[in-house]
Amino acid sequence: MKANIILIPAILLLFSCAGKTEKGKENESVKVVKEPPVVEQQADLSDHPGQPLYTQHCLPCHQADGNGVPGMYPPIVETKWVNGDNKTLISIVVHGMDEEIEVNGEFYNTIMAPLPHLSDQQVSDVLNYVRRQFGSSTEKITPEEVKIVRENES
Amino acid sequence: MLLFTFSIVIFAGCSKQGTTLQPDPDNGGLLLPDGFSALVVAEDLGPGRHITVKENGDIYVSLRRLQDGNGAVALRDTSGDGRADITQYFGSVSGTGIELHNGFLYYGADSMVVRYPFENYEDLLPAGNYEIIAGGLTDERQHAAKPFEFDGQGNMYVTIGAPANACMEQMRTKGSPGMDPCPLLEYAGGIWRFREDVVGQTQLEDGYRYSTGIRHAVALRWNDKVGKLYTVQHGRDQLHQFFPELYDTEQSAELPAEEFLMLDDGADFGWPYCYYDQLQGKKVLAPEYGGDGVETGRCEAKTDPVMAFPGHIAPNDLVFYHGTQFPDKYHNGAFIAFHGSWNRAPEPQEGYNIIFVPFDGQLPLGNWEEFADGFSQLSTVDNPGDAVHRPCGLATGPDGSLYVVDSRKGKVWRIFYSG
Repeated sequence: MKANIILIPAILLLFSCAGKTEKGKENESVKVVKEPPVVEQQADLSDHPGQPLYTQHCLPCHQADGNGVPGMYPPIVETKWVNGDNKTLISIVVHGMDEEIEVNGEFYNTIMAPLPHLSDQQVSDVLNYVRRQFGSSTEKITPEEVKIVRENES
Repeated sequence: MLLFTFSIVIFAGCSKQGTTLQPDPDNGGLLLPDGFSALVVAEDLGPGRHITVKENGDIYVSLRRLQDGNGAVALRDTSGDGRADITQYFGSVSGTGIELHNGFLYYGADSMVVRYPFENYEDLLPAGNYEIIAGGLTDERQHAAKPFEFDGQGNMYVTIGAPANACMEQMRTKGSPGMDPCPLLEYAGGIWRFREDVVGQTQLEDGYRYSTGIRHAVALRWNDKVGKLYTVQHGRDQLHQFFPELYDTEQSAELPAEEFLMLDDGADFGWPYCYYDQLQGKKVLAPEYGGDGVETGRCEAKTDPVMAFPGHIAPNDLVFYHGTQFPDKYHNGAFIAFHGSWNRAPEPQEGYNIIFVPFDGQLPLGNWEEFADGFSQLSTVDNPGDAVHRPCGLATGPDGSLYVVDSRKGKVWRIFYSG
C-alpha cells in the first residue's frame, strides 16, 4: 500500500520531466531559427560526406544520437554552439574547448580535444552534417571559413 | 485514510526485524537473483557518487556537484521500514569518496580528502567544519574523483587518477605520441598512502606512492579478511578512434579490459605503456608506445589483474561481502558496480549493473556473474543519456544488506535476502 503511494508521484515526476525537456527544446529552436526549416532537412543523410567523419571522430563522445554522456560530454542537439555563428563552431573543432559550459541545466567541464588532423574540407563536411542531423541552422560552413579560423586563432 | 494505512504499515514493519523488511512490489525496478528483494530508501537526492552506512543505520551519500551549496546528504529511517524519513544535506565540498572511520566522516573532494567531526557520533549530521587530511591532490577535470580507503593500521590510501587517456603529448589527439617516460606518473596514475589521522598532509610532502600504472580507479576497497587492498581500473579509451588501422569498432568496444587489481607496495600495473587484452590474456604495448595490439615489450614486467572485465563498463565501486545475511556463496566475495560505458559506441553500451565475483582467499574463484540489473530501464543502452539510472556507489549495512546509489537522479536502493 505504501509502495503504491510512492509509485504514483514517481510516475508523475518522470512524465513532467519529459514534458519539460520537449518544451525547452521548442523554445530554444524558436529563438535560434531565423528561417523556417527547409524540406531538405528531412533528407536521408547516410550519403553525406560528413556522416563517416562524425562516426569516426565525434560519435565516441557525443554518441550516435548527439546527446553526449551525462556529466562528461555535452549534448550537441539543438545547442547554441551548433546553431550559432560559424566561427565559434569551427573553432571548437579546430582549436578545442576548455571551459565549463551548461547545457539543458547540466554542467560539463571536460576538455574537448582539438581535431587538428582534419582537413578544412573535412571540418566543413562534418559540421554541415552535424547541423543538418542535430541542429536547425541551415547556414553552410565552407572550407575557406575553416582555413581562416585555423590560421587566426591558434 | 492514507495516513491511517501508512501507520499500520509502519507498525507491521516495526514488529519485524532485519531481513523481514517489506520489499517494494517491483524491487524498486531492479532485477535480482531468486530470494533477493529490494526497497527504495530514497529518490532524487542529486547526482550520487559513493555511499556509506553507519552502525546505527544512518546513510551518507556523496554528490558529484553541490546541491544548493551542499555536497553530501544524510538519510535516517526513524520508522524501521528501511525507507528514509529524514533527509538532510550538508558539507561545503562535492566529490566521491565517503566513509565513516574512527568517529569521523571522511570525504574525498576532487583536490583533497577531508574529515568532518561529530559532536555525538550517533547524531545524523557532523558538527562544524572539515579539516584537511590530505591536500594538494591534482584536479584537472579528468579522472579527478578521489576515492580513498583505510587499512585498519592507521593508513589511508587515495586514488589519484591520471588526467589523461594515454599520456599523449597532445591530450586525446589522433597521431600524438605517448610521452616516455610519462611525467604524469610522478603525481597521478596511482594510489598514494597517507596517515589517516594527521591533519594537513600534502601529496608532495607526505604522500607515499603505494602502487603505480593505474590510469584511474574509482572502486577501492581493503579486504580485511585477507589484509589486501583492491581496486578496479578504468581502462584507456578510443583505440579505434585513434588507431583505426589496428582496431575495428568491435575490438575497440571490448578492449582493453577493465582490470580488477590486487595491490602490493610498489606494484606497477603498466598504464600508460601497457593495457590488458582479456582476449589474448596478457598485457600488450599500447599503440601510443609503438604497440601493434600483439607485441608485449616492456609489459611483461608489469603486474597482471586478478580478473578482467569487458572494456569501458566503468567499475565505480567495490565491496567485499563479510555479512551473514546473504547465502554462503556470497561470503567473502566481491560486488562491483559498473556505472556503464560510453566508449563502446557505435556498438551497444554495456555495464549499468552490479556483478558478483566469488573469492577464495586473496583471489577470485571461477567466473563473475551478474547480480543486479534493471538500473537503466532499457534492454539495450545505445546512448548513455538514455539510461534512467546508473549504479555508482555500494555499501554494506550493519545487518548485511547491500546499498546502492545511482548517479543520474540519486536513487538509493537497499538489497536484502529474504529466502
